[in-house]
Amino acid sequence: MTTVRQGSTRRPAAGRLRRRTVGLAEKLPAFVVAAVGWQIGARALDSPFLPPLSAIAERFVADWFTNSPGSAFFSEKFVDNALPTVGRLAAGWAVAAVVGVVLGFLIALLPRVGAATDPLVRLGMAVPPPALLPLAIVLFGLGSSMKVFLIAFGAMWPVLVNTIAGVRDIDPQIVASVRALRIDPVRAFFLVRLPAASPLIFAGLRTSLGTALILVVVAELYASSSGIGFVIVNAQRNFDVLGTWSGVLLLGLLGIVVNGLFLLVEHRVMRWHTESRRATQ
Amino acid sequence: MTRQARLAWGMVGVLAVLVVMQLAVSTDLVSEQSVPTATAMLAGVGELVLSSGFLAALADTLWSTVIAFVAAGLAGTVLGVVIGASDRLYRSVSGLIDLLRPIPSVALLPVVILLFGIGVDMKVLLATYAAFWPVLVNTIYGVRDVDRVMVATARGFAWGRMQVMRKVMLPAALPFVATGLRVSSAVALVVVLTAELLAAENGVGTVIRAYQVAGRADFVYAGIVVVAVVGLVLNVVVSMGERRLVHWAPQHRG
Amino acid sequence: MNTQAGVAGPRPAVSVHGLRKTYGSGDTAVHALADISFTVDPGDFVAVVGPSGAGKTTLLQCLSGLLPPTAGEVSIFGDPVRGPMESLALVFQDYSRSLFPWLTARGNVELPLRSRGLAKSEVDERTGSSLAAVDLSGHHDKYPWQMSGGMQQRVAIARALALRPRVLLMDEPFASVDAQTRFDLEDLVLTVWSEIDVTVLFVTHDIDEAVYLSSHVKVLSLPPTVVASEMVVPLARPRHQVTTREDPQFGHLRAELFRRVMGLRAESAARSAQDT
Repeated sequence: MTTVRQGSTRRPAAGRLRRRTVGLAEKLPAFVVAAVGWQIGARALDSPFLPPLSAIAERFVADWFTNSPGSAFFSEKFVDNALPTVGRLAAGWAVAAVVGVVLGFLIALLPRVGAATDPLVRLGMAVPPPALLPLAIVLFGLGSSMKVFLIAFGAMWPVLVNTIAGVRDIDPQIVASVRALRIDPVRAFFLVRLPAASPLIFAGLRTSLGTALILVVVAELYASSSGIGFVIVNAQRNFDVLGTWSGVLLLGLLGIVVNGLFLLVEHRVMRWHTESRRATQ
Repeated sequence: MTRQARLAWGMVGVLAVLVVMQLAVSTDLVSEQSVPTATAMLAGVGELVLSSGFLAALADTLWSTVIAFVAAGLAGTVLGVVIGASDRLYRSVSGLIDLLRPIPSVALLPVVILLFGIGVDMKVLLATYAAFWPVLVNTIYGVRDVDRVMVATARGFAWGRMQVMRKVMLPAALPFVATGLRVSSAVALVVVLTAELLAAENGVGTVIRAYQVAGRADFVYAGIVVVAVVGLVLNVVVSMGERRLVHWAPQHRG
Repeated sequence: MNTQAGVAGPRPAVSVHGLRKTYGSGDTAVHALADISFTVDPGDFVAVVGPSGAGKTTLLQCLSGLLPPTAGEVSIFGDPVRGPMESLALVFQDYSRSLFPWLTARGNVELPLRSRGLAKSEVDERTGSSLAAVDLSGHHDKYPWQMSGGMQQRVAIARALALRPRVLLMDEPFASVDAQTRFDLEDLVLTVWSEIDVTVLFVTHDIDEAVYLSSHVKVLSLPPTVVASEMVVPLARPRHQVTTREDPQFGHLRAELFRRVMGLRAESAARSAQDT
């Protein structure tokens, strides 16, 4: 009787917890050193523009959180600014993702379309995304639609390029299986081609998320009346140093949270891929 | 599809876009303020490329990019090797790296402006910071990814730590370092451009910003095309260097 | 075009006539298959062997309709093969690349069934019975990477069986599993074949396996490939890993087959030595 080989994820939970805490303990010193280094450096430099961490932290809490009764947890400033930023980011990135994947499939599966669009795709990929800001303004003015367009148009290229690669580089054995099994075109697309291309597509989505974040910041720093970027640049123009840093900190946290969420989703959806790769090693 | 056919279709694609641009404006479908005619855009490209003012701005941008790239490359490679070679150091620092990496460096632009004003220093510093991360991360990965068997074999020759590093680890890590450098060159250019677009006084980004404010869509589009080409050329040059570096590395094996 | 004129026998399960496959043209043409002709009776278990490089996989690809031949005819129960057919099912050698890793065992078996517009109850019934036939009843919800190589190949076999094919083509299906697992899988195939009404064409490079499993063996030559010879395997059924292999007749058949295959290799080596 053949034995069943368990997937390598089935480790006892206790061991995993222990390893996580040990891992955390190892990583902590670096943060402490960095924080202490900042404090010391700030006091030593005594520049008005490099405040100590404690002051920044204090201002951060005051800016973005509230303990007044009746409101949820975040301050009004947070709601008025963080939400628009997140909204633009989400909308722009979603459009970039959908357009990138759909176009990517079309380009990869239709040879003539692929050849015709090839120079355009290369050009699009070569344009540094922030350089599209003036273009977006010229097309849409200075409002929210400009920002969403900028993010969508700027962040779609990594998705597009990676989708094309993912569809083109599909394992020929998979294609042979689909033909031999006479799977209908619709199911072949959604249940075979799309999953087979998904590892590369996800890599493209990850890159494009980073680009989207950069673009929303750039747009808000340049031309906005709301948003975290606006808060930052407004504070900077008024020489409100602590306010500037407080905004930067929030933006940094946004980047970390957004990335973390994406990694969580990717880890779950792409589990079959990481495990399969591990199994063949 | 034959190579000629691909090229032909490629030209058809580009031509189609230009024709659409031209028609959309001449039939008043879109205003000239938003989309220039293809002819206007191409004329703009020609004018920019021949204008000494623009070329001076381009030189400024490229020079800043190069400085940032070199500084980031040195710092990233050295630190990357140090961190990658020590397992303990890596484990202790990796959390901090993972935390700082996803933060868009552009977000630091306002504080950098507060600290350093809007001169060249500001651009170069921010770009160096941004370009540092890809080099660091790729170098660490390259050094750590070195075949443990090779290292063990080398240690078995009773080689000292430095020798092992020089003869085995560094050559094997070279391809990864090269990749990191290529990515960082693109990042440096992007950040320099961004700083120029948003605040700086000199450089290509500043020029394009000026045209946008002045409502000259043709030059805005033209500027973007030029910037894309510059990016491509930079990519090609760095890739050639990368290939040279990688080609050299395997010869040091064995 | 199929059986001998005048003989009113049952239609052969597989009928190959003058099959030719050439890649390229002119001087650089590669003649993979030169002139292949044979028939397979319904319900038979036929092994196809040959030295490495003998175009066994190419033959199977032409039979299954995945590769169009340069010349010749292939028919399955009288129907000419123009592309993948309902009456044919193919099991590939590389299960890790022909099973879909994002689907469970059940998902992999179900997918082609759902493509055929069958009712859900029918799909479930066939999936359940196929996975049971390959001894994987408790493992419906496992993913390929959670299974051993042998189990994955069983899923591939179940996937083929669920299609209720009349002819089962197997392309060196056990080449990538370890010896122990191979014996289990060989017996599994024999059991399945004895229980359902299917004709099996089994390509292998393993001579022992060919003799153990089949009733007839076709020996292919090196390219340009033809059917060099055929052999009957009259060993009693059901076959048994120990007693059948102990049988002196097994040894004789095996040795004869070995001689023929090795002979083809020597022949081809001599021929190429002549050409240079």
